[in-house]
Amino acid sequence: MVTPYNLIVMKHYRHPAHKGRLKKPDATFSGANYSCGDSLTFTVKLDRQKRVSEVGWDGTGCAISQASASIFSDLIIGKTLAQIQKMRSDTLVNKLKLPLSPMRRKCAVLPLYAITKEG
Amino acid sequence: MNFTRYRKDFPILTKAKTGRKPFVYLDSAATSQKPAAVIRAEQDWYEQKNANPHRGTYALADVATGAYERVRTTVAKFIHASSPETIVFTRGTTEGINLVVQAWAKKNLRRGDTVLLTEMEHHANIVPWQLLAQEKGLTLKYWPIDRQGKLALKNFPALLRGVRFLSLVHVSNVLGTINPVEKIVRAAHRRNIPVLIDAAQSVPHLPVNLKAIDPDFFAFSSHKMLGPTGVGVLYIKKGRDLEMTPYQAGGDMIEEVHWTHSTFKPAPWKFEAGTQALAQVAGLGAAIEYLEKIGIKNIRRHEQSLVAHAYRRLSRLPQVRICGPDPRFRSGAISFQVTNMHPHDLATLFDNYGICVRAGHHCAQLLHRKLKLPATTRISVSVYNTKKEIDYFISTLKAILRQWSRPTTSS
Repeated sequence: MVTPYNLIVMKHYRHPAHKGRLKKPDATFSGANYSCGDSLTFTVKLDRQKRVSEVGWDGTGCAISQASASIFSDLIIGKTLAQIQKMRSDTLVNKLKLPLSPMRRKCAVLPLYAITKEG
Repeated sequence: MNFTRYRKDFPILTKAKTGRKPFVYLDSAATSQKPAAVIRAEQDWYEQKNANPHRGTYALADVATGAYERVRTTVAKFIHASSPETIVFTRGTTEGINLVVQAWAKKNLRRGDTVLLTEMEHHANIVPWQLLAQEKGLTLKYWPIDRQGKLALKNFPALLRGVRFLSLVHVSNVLGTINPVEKIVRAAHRRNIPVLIDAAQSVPHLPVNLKAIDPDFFAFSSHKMLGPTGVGVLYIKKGRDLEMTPYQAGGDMIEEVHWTHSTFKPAPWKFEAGTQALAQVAGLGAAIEYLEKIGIKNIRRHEQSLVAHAYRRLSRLPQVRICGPDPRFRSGAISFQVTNMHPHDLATLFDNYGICVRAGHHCAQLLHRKLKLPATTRISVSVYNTKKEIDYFISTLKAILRQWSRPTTSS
């Protein structure tokens, strides 16, 4: 029996963490995947040490990019923007625990792309 | 007519390197698969005929020239063009459209002129016009579609007012809609508006008669009609060629080259600079012979029955919204949307079952903006598809929908 993705992806997709935009963010980042029309926007608040203290994200997309955005939002709390921008794409992709084709890998790295391209 | 017997002509149906069984290819609108006759024709070119046409004085060059020019005649007959000289070989539909934009429109349109396109165009029939419009100060107008995904025809001659050029798609690659091009061209010609038709999705699937349609330009691709990639056709109506500059310049398209200027061969050779995709042209000839052997009317009937069957079964699923008109007005493609499910997820899950479907905007972002959908899932058929495959596609879709709605609260 073939299952749709795995439980990690489906759980994050159904019950995403930190979904919703922050009201007065210190920084906002957006990214889009033009081949499928997915787009994500991250809003963050920074503490005195410039570390992410709060995150809220919004956007539309496939289960992979939505799950990845949810996992990513958990990952970046407590990190500075410079640290996040240095994050390797594998760090994020491996968390999904799902074999991905090159096309679908792009969906998974969209959150990281949103932040690094503006860095 | 039983089409199952044609499946054995397509080697990829049993040899595809996906490791998936079954292999169900429902993406022929992107590119069609090739029968062995086409693959063999390319090999035969290299084994028996390869020389550069129109150049050598030896016997093999004559063989090459003869074979190459015979395909031009085959193409002309296939679409009922007035003569082989109206047929230009290009790299594909995209190049055909760019050729018209650069060689005709750039020369004959002026600042302030209006070009009419439609809301259902492929990017290939939008972006070349946008670049020219920016360069020359042209205005682009878009012919709206109605709620069924057909061109709004009520009062359409009013849309043509003030228009200097009309470029439109024959069959939409997303909606499958067949546009009534005969009627549209007639109305445009009454106002002296030249018409270019993007026929990439019509020539492979419908009987096409250029004597009846009477376009000024008509572009299509070999690779969507069972032929090789890298070659396409642009029909240029007699007389229009005299209003055009060359598109690219180089070998074979010239008559005399002087130190400061050159004179050019007449059409179609004026538009075929450099060595063409010779083996691919030979393959295109074989593809047309193959289509004619089955009969394009029979193909139309077969594909229409598959699409009608898929349409009927899809419309019974409450989660599915089909884009575009009912099967009577459409060719071999159906795009649809599933509630709460992104097309990329759907396509990935279909792939697990060996079914190739297309997900995305299908190179028609404007149309998707109009439909208010970021992307859709599309199935499209050809001669090698069967009713059984459509049934498998539907039962798989049902299985995917069941799994997708399964709760994730366990563990």
